[in-house]
Amino acid sequence: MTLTGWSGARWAFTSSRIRTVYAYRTDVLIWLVAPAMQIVLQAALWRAIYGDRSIVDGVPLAMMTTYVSLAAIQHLIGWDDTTDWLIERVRDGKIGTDMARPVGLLTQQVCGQVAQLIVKAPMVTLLLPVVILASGLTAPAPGALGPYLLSTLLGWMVNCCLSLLVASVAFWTLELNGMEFLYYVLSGFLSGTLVPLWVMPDWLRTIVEWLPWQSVVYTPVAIYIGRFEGARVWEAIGVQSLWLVLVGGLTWLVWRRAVHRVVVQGG
Amino acid sequence: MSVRSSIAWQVKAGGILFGGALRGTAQYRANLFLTMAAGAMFQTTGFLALWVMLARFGDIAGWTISDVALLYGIRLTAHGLWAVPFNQLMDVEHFVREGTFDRFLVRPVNPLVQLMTSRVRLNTLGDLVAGLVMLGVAMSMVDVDWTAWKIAFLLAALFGGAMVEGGFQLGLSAIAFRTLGSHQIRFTVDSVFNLYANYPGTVFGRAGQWALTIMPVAFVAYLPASVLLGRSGELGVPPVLAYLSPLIGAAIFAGAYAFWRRQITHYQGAGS
Amino acid sequence: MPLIETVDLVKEFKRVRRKDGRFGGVRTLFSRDFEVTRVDDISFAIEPGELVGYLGPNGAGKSTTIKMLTGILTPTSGHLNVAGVVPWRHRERNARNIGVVFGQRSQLWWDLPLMDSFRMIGRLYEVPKRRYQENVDRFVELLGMASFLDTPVRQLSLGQRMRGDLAAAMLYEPKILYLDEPTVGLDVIAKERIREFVDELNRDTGTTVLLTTHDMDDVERLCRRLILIDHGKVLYDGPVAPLKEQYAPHRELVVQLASDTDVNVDGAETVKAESGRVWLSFDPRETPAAQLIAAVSAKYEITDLSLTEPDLEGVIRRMYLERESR
Repeated sequence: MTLTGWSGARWAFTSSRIRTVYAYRTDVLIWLVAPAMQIVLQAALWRAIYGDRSIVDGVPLAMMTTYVSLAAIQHLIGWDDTTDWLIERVRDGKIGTDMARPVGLLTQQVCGQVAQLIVKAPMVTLLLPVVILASGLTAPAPGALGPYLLSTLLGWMVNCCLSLLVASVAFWTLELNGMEFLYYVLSGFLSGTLVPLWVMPDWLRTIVEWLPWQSVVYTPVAIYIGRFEGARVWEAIGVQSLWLVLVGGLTWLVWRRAVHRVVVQGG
Repeated sequence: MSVRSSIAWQVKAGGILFGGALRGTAQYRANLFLTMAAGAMFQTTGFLALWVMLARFGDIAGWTISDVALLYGIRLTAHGLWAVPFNQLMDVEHFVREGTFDRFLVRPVNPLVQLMTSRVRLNTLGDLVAGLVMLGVAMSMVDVDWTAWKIAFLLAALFGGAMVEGGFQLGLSAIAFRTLGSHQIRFTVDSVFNLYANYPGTVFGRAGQWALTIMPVAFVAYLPASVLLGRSGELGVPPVLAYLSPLIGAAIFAGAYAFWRRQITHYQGAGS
Repeated sequence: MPLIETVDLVKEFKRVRRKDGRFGGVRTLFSRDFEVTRVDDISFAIEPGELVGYLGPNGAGKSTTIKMLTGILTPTSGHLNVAGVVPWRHRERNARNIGVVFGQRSQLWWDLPLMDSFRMIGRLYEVPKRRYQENVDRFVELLGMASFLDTPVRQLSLGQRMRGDLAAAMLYEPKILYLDEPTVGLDVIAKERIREFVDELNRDTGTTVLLTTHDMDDVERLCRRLILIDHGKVLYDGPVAPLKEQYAPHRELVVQLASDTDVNVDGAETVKAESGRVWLSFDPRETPAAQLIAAVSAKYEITDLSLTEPDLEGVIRRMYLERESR
């Protein structure tokens, strides 16, 4: 298969998924309301906590509110319905049809995630006015914008792999409806969306640092607000990349086994 | 009004129907524990975050972690108290569309009772359990002298709070009889309660407090908690309102039920 | 004293045409695409023990009327009384007097065995234990349900489920039975079984039956009275025979002749002739059937003959067509 053929098939699949997500765009818009309210809430909470102080731990209030808002947006982009969708397909037996397509099953999922991003990312920017009004959005730290964007991309990719890993559970058991929701909530906490890592007690922070989720939200946003400086920025990105390789590799392995299992068992 | 419409009959009939639903769900053993855990996790994650924050900062708007735990526990328990029996309200549109609601109207039992007992879904039980646990722990940690009156007020506030949230959801469900598509609004309302009912109103400034009182999210937990903690002095709204929380909850629920009954007369049927 | 009485019953509502798709809900909310349903001054009275057919094309207002009678819909105006109860005002009391079988949707509990559904109905309608047992046994025998009493309802065939629904509707001996398309989708034997059951029910226990159906055989077999509605109004209310006489007075005598000849007889017209078989159309009001047969056999040698009834479907169709052209 030529290069254009290869990417052509994948693009065709992606664009059809884009159309599906776009068809439910009103769904998505309403779905933005809750996060918007969450951002307003977080900003208010932090303001109240800071009280009369304007800087705590070297972090001014404005930076803190920027952190929580940006983190909320980043976390939101990473959410999709892969797990539940997959469980449904497996349950209905339609997974067989999916597997018969010219594009590999795992690739299909990835295309699906890309599709979600393409549709959702622009919509999420609708939240920006809310953010600016509620919590203010400070400018990125000097020179941080480039690395921030790179880090965001890496973080998103790590998240894709993680949710694919979670989704793959569908091949072993159908009992996990609502799993994805639980995952969203947990990952929210573990990625530093609700509470930045530097606020956490040492024992908790150590645990979180050794998990992949903080590279999805915390790392990019921390870069943005200048929590990392100079060489440390690239260190952090390096760690992200490491996680990407680890988690990506694991995902690929697990999916291979899962697909093999489906073929052997007949779906 | 015949004797048969009495509450006793509805309870008895509800029991019969619930038994049927229970026997029916025995067929589908979805992972109950996981869904309960997911729900509880969703509700408590905000508290966990706040716990971490307060571990570092001490207090928020003068409320200590145990004060906030009490507030949170009250809200979560109140939420569980309405969500466990009424979780089927979320499916009212499904029943209308499938024609099952037509069937409810033709049986000698209150259609709301039939709706409530149509399926057994215990995933919200996790919320209730988490709420009770939090409440219990908070009650022991907090600097409050638990007199009989305070306990009584707490219980009244729990049910009152349940009726505030439950009343809203009941009223919104009733809209499904005239037009489908209210579940997005219900989801949004649910989110508002889930997010804003858990925190001291002082966090939101004076205007925010008033907004929350009118909404009336504040009645679910913040105002009663203020009363119990002896903080009614710092309220941005007249303290007497806080004492009336349970009654206001009852009024909201009664209004919602009346609205529900009214909307049934505008029911258009399932469509051929 | 009529058991069911409606006077100037009116129901008017605009229903938004439902949009499909997942967020169809919100789009429906803002749509201006309406369809109006009307029931326009419908009046009729049904005495206890009657078996009435309620017919009309789709959209005529049939199901709207039935839904008002059963208490599902509230009328816009008019008077409605069923067994001394105003259905929409006292739904639960009305429910005890009626049994309803919706052809498309079952009232049984989907995941439970059939017997369980019966038991629940018995308890919900507070049927005394002995009565309940008698009724269950009788219906199980009459409808032949013994073999699938323990099967979950969702595994039953349509015919089995229909029988279950019928039995469930009658377990508590309601005064009135509403049947909405009870034979749709069933095979011939199943249909006959259902009709026989309803007929017996009506004769033995005096249960008043109101039947809506598109199956003319149901009507021919069961109904002694027809109420025909169209565009929300009553077109005809009365026995079946006069209807036939009015709109399809002609009957046909089909004779098989020994030899292939033309038939010429007073009072009859040859409609069709084919290899010895002749179809003769005649008006029984002018020429009684017996007279015609005698006249034909006197002139020709007949090996076989049969007499056809005007078919009700044709009658009704003609009636509606006539209305349209007016």
